[in-house]
Amino acid sequence: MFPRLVQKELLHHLLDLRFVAVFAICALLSALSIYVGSQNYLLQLRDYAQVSETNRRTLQEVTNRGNLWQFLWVGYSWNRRPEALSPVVYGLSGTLGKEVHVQYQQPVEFEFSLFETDPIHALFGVLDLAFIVKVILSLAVLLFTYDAVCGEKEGGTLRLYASFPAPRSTLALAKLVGSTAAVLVPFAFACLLASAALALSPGMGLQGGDWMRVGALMGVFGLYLTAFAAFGLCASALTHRRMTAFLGLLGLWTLWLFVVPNLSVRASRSLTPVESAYDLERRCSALRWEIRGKRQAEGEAYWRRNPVQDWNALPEARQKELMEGIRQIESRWDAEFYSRLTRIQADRRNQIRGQQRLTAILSAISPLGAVSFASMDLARTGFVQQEQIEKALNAHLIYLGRFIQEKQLQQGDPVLTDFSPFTYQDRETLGECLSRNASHVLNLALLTVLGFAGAYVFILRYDVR
Amino acid sequence: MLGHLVRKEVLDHILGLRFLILSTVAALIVWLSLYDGYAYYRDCLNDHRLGQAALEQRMQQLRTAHGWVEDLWAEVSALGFKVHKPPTPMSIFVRGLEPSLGRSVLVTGVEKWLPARSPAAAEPILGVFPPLDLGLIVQVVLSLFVLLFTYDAICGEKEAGTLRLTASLPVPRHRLLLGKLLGTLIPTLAAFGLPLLLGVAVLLLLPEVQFDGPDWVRLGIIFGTFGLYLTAFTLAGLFASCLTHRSATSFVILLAFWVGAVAVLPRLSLIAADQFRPAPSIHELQAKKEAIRVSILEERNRLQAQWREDYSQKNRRSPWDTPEGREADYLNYSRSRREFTPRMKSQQERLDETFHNRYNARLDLAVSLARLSPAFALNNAVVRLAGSGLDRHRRFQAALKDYKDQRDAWFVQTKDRDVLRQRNPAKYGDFKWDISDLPGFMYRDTQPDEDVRTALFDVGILALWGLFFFIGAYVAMLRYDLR
Repeated sequence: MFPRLVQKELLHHLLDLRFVAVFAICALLSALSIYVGSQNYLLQLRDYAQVSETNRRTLQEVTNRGNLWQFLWVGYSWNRRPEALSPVVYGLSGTLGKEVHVQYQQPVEFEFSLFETDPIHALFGVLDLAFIVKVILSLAVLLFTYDAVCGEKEGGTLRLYASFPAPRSTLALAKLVGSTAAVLVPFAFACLLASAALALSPGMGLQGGDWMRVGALMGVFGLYLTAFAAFGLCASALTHRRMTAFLGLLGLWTLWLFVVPNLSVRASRSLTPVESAYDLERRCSALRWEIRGKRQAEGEAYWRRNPVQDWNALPEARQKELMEGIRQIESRWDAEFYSRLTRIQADRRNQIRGQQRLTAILSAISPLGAVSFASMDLARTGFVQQEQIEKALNAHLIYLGRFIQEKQLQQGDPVLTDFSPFTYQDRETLGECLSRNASHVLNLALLTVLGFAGAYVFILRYDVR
Repeated sequence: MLGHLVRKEVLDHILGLRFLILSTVAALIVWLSLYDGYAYYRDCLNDHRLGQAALEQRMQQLRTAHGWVEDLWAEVSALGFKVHKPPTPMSIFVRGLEPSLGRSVLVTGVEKWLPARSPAAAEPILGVFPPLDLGLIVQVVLSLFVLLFTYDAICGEKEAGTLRLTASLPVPRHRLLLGKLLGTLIPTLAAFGLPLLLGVAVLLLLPEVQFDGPDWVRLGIIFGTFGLYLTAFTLAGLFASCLTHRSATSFVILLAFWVGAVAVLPRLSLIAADQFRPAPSIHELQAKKEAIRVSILEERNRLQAQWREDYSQKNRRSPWDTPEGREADYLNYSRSRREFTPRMKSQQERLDETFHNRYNARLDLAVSLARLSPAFALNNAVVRLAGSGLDRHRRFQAALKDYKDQRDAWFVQTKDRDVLRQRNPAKYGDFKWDISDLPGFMYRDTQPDEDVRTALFDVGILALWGLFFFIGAYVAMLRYDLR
């Protein structure tokens, strides 16, 4: 009996006008989003190649000329490569800075995001698969499920359904399984189409690890839509009129998509405020100035203790000895600067992490929070990757400081060609990423179970008359 | 009779569960968006104040600095300082592009004066979720609610069997349609408008929110545009309802229209514009400008080296050996700068012009195509009116350009003075670090009437959309099979 009931549910949905319309919209939008996203990605990749080449040439020119002064005061730029999975989840790719100016004794700051350098993208918005799933498909799922139970009651078929020689629990399970399967059919088709579009787009160059991440993303999206389906069925089993169910669900959709996430952000910003970037700049600048002053004073005292009338007249050993003394002063103050700068930055990073954690906790009652955090991380377009790059850059800055001090001691024009510019390669495995996002996936699963449990209980207690 | 029809429709709506739920959710979300907008503006204002404090501290550092002349000038020209764009209070209502646009510019001796550190870049958590911005709420959520009010206005009555009864009354069909329209519009606009006005009244009591006369006019036009947009969607709902005989069909059609108008069409327009009128990226422009700078610098270095060689041959000693020689060396450098800088600037300006022409051509095409969507027309109009879009950003950049010219002129003059004092103190006096006359940057926002005119064009497009749907609904209603 159970398979037949599921089959009936499935057919009921599949032969409906709504299904055809949603199926068509899903197919069109998913293919379109990948096409639009891949075009955008290729443009950004071209731009990245160009700007990286310019950066490389500028740095090469400075190092070849042995221009230590320019190297010290001007530094060089490094740009972040666009993420290959951005057509699937654009995440924060548009808002996070893409360029870092690597400069001696200057804190790392990502600047010149895509929206800052080409605001036209912000004006028109981004059409990625994540947007389609999070906003449009979630609404379509509610449209599928809002009348699964109460609609049958209004149509009079629920009584007939209940007269079958099957326990109410079997009927309830069949409804849940059939409706959810019907919801996931257009999504699965959209996923296939999106994957095909990704595979066929020239120049995308997705690797094995990327495809595994795409698979994980589809799983997360599927779970997100199932949570909506579960609550759709729950609302349908809770009400006796289609309109009531639909309006309630629309209210829930608005609440989940717009109200809860934004209020979570607002509440977490009030409860765990993060030091403003401007305040951080002010503190870093004050620190640099303080260290500069102390270093200068110690250097002047050093030269007063070791007066030199004519540098060229000094023996080479004495010159080296004096320079070694200066190097030690520079090195000590540099270490002091970087250690205090690291503490200031770590404080802010911890504040940001705390705020993000609180936002994730507060937004847990909406599936949008969990799916947004998890999908951005899986597609490498979120905070975590930026933070990892920042960490690597901070380590590089210490190397840069030592390199500059070493070269300052060299007599004549220093050789700078042995400088290793910053490079970054993300080596994180899918397993590590998934374990970091386990709480978000669990959150989605819990909401789904809650919705299904509610729907199951309400169907069992439903007045079919 | 029209009055009766309107009254019946109004009562039908306001006594229904649908109206109660939708208007409650709408009021809640409108108030929340106003609160969120205010909190956002307050945070931006606070950031701006902190930015100004950081700037003041940096200027103090630069003014009181001491050390080697080269190092001091490197502090000014290589590390520089940051100037900031203030937030606009209108962003409480329409945030537009403000969260994504850069608001701080590093003032240095290099060409790259690009605004960075947008609110979303400084606090990435702001970019994770779609913002609770009033403009976006009207564009996305309230338009959907309005469609829900109207999708079954005609076909729903047919399904319920009441349409025949209404049609049996001695009233022409166009009046019936007008009755439906007014009967839906009045409670809809009241349900969304009243919480909005109440929210605005509360906002005005807050100390940070200060509007002047022109701001009020703009705010009035913004709210009027919201009303026009919702009216256009109401008419779209009526049109779909007159076209179909089943409310489910009408809803699916409207949902597809909503998805197309809100999410798809604007984004596709940009892709089409990129295909037909591709524009170079800002990085491409910067790279070309840098190449010009480097090539001119190389030529200047070559000429300077040549001059030094000639000097050494003529005077039988290096220019570095005497104060006069050092002075002559710098004067030659300064002369070559005066000669080459206008050439470099004119080449770079030509590049800038070509870039902006191509960029604007791409933007214009994308905007023209996207205007086919009423949602984009609304967005374009209210963002312009609120000054939270590209226009204000461009005015800020134009003010920066003027400031750059001022600052560059000061830099050349002051650095020349310092270097000459350092090279030949007997002639020019002793070197003393003094940058107290460094020009400051202060951006004062002025919104030209052109913004309003362009916005009114978009408002006109919305009116056209409304007219199109009204005519469609009128024709469909005249031909509607009531049986």
